Amino acid sequence: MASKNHGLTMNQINTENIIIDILSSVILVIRNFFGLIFYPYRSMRKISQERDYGQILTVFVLVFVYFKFAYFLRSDPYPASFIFLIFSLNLFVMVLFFYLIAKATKPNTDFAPFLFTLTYSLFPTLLWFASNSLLYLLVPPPRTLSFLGKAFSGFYLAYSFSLLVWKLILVYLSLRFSSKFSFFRIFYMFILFLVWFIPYSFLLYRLKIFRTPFI
Amino acid sequence: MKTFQYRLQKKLNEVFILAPNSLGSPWLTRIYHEVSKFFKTMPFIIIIPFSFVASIILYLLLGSLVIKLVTILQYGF
Repeated sequence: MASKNHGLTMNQINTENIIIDILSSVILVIRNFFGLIFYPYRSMRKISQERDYGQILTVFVLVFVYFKFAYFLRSDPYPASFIFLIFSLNLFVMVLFFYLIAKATKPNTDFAPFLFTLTYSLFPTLLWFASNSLLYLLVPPPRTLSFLGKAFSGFYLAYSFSLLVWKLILVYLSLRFSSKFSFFRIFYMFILFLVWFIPYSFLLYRLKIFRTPFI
Repeated sequence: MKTFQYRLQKKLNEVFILAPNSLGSPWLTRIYHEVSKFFKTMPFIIIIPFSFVASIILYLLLGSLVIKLVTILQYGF
C-alpha cells in the first residue's frame, strides 16, 4: 500500500479515499435495496446496525433527483429544493417522534438505528413515486371505462397495493429493530404517529406541497 | 479458526439482537409467527397474488369508482 501511494500528494490520497467511500456507500445501498426486496427481515436487521452515513446521503441524493424530475411534470410546482427541504423535515420529525417514544420507555435506545432503518424504508415510496411519474408521462390520466382502461386500473391498483404492503412491512421491521418493542407496542406507536401525521399530510395537500405524503 | 469463531459470534449476536415477539396469548403468538414467516423472506411471492386478488375484489365492490381512484392516484405524485 505504501509503495502504491508513493509519489501521491496528501490531497490526491484524500480525494481517492473520498471517492472510494462514496462508491462503497452506493454499492451498499444497491445491495441493501435488493436485500429489502428478497430478504427484508435479514436486511433490515443488518441496516439497523449500520453507521455509514454515506448511505443516508446516497438515499437522499436519489430522492432529490426524483424531486428534480417531478418538478418538470407537476403543474403547480414549488422548487425541487423546497420540496426536498420539506421532505427532509418530515423524515427528521418522524424519526425523532419514534425515537423519543422508544427513549421514554427504554432509556438506552439509540437514534442511529431509527435514522438508518426509516431512511431505507423510503425505497417503496421512492419506487412508487418514480414509477407513477413515468406512468403519468407514458399513460397520462384520466383513465376511461374501456377494457384497456379497466385492465390498466386493475394492474395499477395491484402494483400500488403491493408496494404499500412492502412499505408497511419495512416500517414495521424498522420500528421492531430500532425500538426492540413487541408487536402491540409498535402498533400503538404507529397509531399515535397517524394521529398527527394524517392532519399534517392534509395540511401539506392543501398547501399543494405533497398530494400524496412522501414518507 | 479464530476468524470462523469471530464470524460465528458476530452472526449469533446479530441474530439474537431481538427477543422473540410475544403477543400475550400463546395462540396469538403462534398465529403471528406463522404469518410473519411469509414476510421475512421473498414477501412478494405472497404480496403480488394477494394484491391482484384485492384489486379484483375492490373492482367488484366499487365498480367504476376504482377507475376514478386510479385517476386520482395517478395525479398524486
